[in-house]
Amino acid sequence: MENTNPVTGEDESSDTDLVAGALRDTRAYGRIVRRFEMVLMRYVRRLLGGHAQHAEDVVQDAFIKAYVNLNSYDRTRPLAPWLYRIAHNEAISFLRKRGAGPLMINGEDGRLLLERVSTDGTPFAAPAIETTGGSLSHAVNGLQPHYREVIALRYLEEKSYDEISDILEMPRGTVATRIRRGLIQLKSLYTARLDEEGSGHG
Amino acid sequence: MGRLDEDVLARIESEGLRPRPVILFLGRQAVFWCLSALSIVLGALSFAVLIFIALDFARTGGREFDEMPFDDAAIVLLAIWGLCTVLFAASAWFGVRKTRRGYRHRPPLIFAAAAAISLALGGVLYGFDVGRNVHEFLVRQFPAYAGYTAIPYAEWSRPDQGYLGGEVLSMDGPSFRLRAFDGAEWMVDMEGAKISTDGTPLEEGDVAIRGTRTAPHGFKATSVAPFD
Repeated sequence: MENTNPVTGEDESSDTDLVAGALRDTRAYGRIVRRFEMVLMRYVRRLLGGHAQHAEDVVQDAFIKAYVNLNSYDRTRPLAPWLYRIAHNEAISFLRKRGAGPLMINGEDGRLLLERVSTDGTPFAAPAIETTGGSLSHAVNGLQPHYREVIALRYLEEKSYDEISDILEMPRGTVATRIRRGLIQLKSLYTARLDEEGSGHG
Repeated sequence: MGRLDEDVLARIESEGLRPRPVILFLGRQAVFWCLSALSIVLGALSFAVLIFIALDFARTGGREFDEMPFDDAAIVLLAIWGLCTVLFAASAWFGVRKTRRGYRHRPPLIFAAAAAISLALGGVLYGFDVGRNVHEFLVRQFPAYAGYTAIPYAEWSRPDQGYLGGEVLSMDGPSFRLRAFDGAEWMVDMEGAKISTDGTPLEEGDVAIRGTRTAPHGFKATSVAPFD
């Protein structure tokens, strides 16, 4: 049964209830799609970069795959990371078929990322603040892919280390290491980019 | 953007999709866990065999340690442990990683934990004489294993058929005193025999002799070769 908040109109059913409902009645699966489509679309668009126009197809495929494998979902865990993982794999698979690289960060995402990284007590703290985020997005796009995906999940999708571990199916320690090393590399790329721009203007 | 939920539901309906049955996923998990458990047990069995072989040689009165136990241990290590290691690696990778949340553990940790369990279990199995039984079973069932690991004491303990082996205790002109593998002492006449040891038979230690029995504890050699 749908558990809708009378004020916000949002479905407040638990993940477990949603999955149980979808297993009983296919129509109920629509509630899962409605709850997660926005975040997954945003995430997949970021992953697809220049192929963002295919995001809806990829997300639809991800939801279909999730439905078929619904019984493999671990009900003791949140549903979001499981869906993210499926969407992530679908997006990577899509890009691989086209021989494209994942995750190109635009200027707006770059600014968002800069704000979040700078206030996170990371090794990245306090290089010169810029307003457009263009230099940072350029630096992020220069990161090695395995660093880029964890940085994006952490600072753009605001996922916890445990969630990233679930999404990328890797140990939590590896996630922490990649974020730390990614930030160090990002700082180096970003500083180099700023120096380049400074000397260009000078 | 259209209504994604409606599109998804329409596709599910048009393609007649249904969630795969839960038993399929449980079965898959069970296979991976069984593979992991099997590899740990095989690892434990091989370790029990290793302990048995090492201690068996250590306890062999008179022969004590020569090159053999280490050769054999190395071969057993390669033959059994090596095989198990492959299975072990495969199951550690597929079994643990493919289980729910198995990916959260670092592979070296998985290997270390599985190896530790194998070693501990192997020690326990050795205590129940499983190492000896497995070794003897393999010797009986697999000629290749027996050829690599079993030392042919029995073959060279048939003086009436012309086969005698043992440790050379002393030289006495063209003869030498030999302690056979069953512990009995023999005088071996090697005059005219083909000697293929590197030094004298005494320097060789263990030798394999072809020839003819001439007395209850006397043997006329036609050839004397290293026993290995």
